[in-house]
Amino acid sequence: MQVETVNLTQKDRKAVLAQMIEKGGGNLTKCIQCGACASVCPVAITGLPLYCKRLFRFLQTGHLEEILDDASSWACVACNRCTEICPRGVDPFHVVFAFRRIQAQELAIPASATTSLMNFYTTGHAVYGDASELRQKVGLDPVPPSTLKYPEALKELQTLLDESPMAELGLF
Amino acid sequence: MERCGLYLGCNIPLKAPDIEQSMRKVFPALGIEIVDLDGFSCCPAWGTAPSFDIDTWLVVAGRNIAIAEMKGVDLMTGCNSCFGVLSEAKHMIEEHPEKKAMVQEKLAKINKTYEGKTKVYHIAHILYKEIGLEKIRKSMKYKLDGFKIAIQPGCHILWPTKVMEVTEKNPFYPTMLKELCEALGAEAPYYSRLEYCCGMGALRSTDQEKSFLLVKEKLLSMKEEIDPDMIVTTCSSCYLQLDGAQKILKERGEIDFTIPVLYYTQLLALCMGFDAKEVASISEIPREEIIEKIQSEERAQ
Amino acid sequence: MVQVGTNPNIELLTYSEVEEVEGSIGNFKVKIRKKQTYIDWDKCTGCGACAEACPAKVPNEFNAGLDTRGAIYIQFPQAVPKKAVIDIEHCLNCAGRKIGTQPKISKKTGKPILAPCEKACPAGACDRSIAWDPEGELIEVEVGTIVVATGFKVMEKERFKEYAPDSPNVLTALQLERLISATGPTGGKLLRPSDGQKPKVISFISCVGSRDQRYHTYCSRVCCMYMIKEARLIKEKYPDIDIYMHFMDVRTPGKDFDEYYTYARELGINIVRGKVGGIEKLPGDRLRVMGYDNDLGKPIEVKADMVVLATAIELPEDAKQLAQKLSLPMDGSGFFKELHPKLKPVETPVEGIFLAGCCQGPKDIPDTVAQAKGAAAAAAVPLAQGKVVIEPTISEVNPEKCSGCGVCVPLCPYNAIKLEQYGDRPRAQIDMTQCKGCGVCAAACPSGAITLHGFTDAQIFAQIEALTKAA
Repeated sequence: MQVETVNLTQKDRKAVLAQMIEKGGGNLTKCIQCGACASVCPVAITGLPLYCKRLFRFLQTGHLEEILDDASSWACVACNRCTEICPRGVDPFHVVFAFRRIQAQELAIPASATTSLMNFYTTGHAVYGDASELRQKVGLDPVPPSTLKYPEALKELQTLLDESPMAELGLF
Repeated sequence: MERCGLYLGCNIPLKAPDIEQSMRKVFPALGIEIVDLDGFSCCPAWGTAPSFDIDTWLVVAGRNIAIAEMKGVDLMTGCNSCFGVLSEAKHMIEEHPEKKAMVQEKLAKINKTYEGKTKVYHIAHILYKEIGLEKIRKSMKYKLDGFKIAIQPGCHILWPTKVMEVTEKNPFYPTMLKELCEALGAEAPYYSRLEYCCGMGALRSTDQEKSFLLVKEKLLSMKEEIDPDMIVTTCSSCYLQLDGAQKILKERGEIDFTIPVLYYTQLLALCMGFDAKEVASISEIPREEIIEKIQSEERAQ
Repeated sequence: MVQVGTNPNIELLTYSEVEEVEGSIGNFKVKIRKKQTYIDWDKCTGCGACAEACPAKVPNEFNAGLDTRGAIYIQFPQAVPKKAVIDIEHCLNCAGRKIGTQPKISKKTGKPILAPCEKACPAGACDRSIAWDPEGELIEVEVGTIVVATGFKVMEKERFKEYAPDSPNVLTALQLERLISATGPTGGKLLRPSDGQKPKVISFISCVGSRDQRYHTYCSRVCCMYMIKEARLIKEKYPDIDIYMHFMDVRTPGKDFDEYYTYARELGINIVRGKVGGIEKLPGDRLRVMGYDNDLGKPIEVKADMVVLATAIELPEDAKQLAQKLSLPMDGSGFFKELHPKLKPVETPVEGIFLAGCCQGPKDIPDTVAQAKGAAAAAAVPLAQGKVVIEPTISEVNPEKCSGCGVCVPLCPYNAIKLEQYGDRPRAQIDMTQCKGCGVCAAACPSGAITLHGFTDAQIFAQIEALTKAA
């Protein structure tokens, strides 16, 4: 048994901030915890635990390992309503996504995301399903004019992805 | 504008190709030639490259924009997520010269050039700004007098305004889609959850039940406040959620009504007299009845 | 204000604007335009009969646009002097008769047909047949020192798109102030603008335009307290009204202020710490306030009948033009800049001009009174002494060397340099009371005619030599 008090001095705030800056979330330090973002955030409204404001407070106080496996950040729909109203220019969406990138690096990724990533690499479409019948039914070519129709275009995309740091994760 | 690149994304060509067909019908009929962006890929969706590596996001988005640029056209998309991903990426590329150089260098390796000349539009912007309400009014075969529409513009077309070419006068109380629907003769009143998230996208794939909370809230606001004949959206994600989740909520008994859902170009195509089998034939909530009412003899001009 | 109006030693010029200021401490010449009132103020008794008769409807500035006034009007019941003016832009020119033209003669009665305002005036002060000069009157006064006290404005609600600005039931705090004032548009009754009904639920939102990078980064300092005051006035009068106050932080420094705030909590006013992110419009002109409760750690919603926005204090546009006329600098927040934030809080870079009140930055009444008394005393000192102390390190022009090119004139940040005739041509002259010894002119002078005392070229070269030797 242990008391639940957080010992703030034992947290490595600098290390967490450095990782956030590297992943594009340097505006974390601008957040003053006013709560405006959370008041209109779909993640917060639906009761998921680590919505923007709360996530930023954990990160500001040097928490990272404790929250690494939480899937809330992956529920962010990137609606950017927060970005529009933030009084401190935090761009909360970018900070949430920076945290996602740290999670991704540690493979703390929900299954739905790995599936769409795999689809993305193999077909060029994150949302994929054989639609040829549906398409023909409405009078369209069975295959849309995308990477699905042009193999050399898919190759181009795969070249870009193979050369990106994402390839190191071994998810595709 | 005489020609415009049509960026389809994933949902429209693979889940709701009748929406794609409706676009292919209405734009040429309204004087804008559609240019296919041959070899395009996923924008990349929020849950893919943007969640892993910013540069990869920018390069993949840059490639899609470059396809339009190399054909000498601007691009329009009917998927709000694609619109958000591409607009945000273009904004970042143009704001940061080092990112632009990086994108150009990586694209050069696959023989693509990116200069930044192509603008990213939403199809609603092209309909509203380029084609205009007057031309839409004149193109109609069936008028929607007496119909009440609940509009759903969706999030990514509203915010963040700083990354967009075209913005609403007030993005929290949008009126573009309202005016587009009114041009067809229908009424499109405000309801309090108009700007509220429908719950689609990452929320739906991460936690379906949570996502249903939002769509239910929205549907109830529509039903209780304005009791519409149909829901009309310009976002393919919202379309799939409002149509698909609505059916599930009805089956579970969480709502005791159904409201048919149409994508705006589907409704426009129906008003212009195109065949519903081609432009509006795939949905969970049945639309036959409303389509029959729209394309009825007494409405014919 | 009444005391000022009746003090024999104070000449009060209302409805007037400063056009131009020349000279320096002890000898300022101020050109003032007394705007045309179109009313004979010697005759006007301030009875207000003309205002009641006027058929025009103009948004009433004093009631923050909540009701209308006539084109002929008295600004507010306690106005000093209490005299009527005609707002000529909005005058309807009743019966097609412009001001300055003779009335038509009635065929029936043979008497002139007067405008409603003329007819109503019992004192003969309103005579529309007089050809008033629309330019008003330009006067010049000579003064030794000047105190700038322009006051402030609050931001309009239209700027805040996420807060349903087009709803009539979203008000600025200043509008609410008028709504609950006995001399306000409802005679002090708290009624919703949309339907004239008493609201049951009211939300207050703080930091609207203040502490916000999109508008102003500063704290407007007075909002927390006046919001609590307004909420308490309402709660004490109508205990059944449910009040929610959404704060980013509650800032109540000041004597007895925090006690005033904590009592608001005891009264049952709901204090919510967390900024509001949006407002949705509900049927019946109600409003759904989408907020956040930092202490609950949850998003919250309030269905309100009325929403009050504490919009930021800022400097009005015309005060910025006055700053240019006075050659006074502005600070980063858009207010008049004091000479030193701690040690010279009422002084400005222009000797003899002083600041008081919100023109220098947002402040409440106690701070404003204290600062105004400081500014008045500071402005009186040189007048009483009859002389000023000047700095020894100021610049001087050698008129023999000066070519009269004038390069230095616009460069001087203190407006201290003028071209004056000297011998055969105009040459630069520096007003020693205005010069602050910055040296910009001395460095720029192509003829080497200007010397900054204590920093002659020879002295500077000697310093450089000494420094480079040491290295």
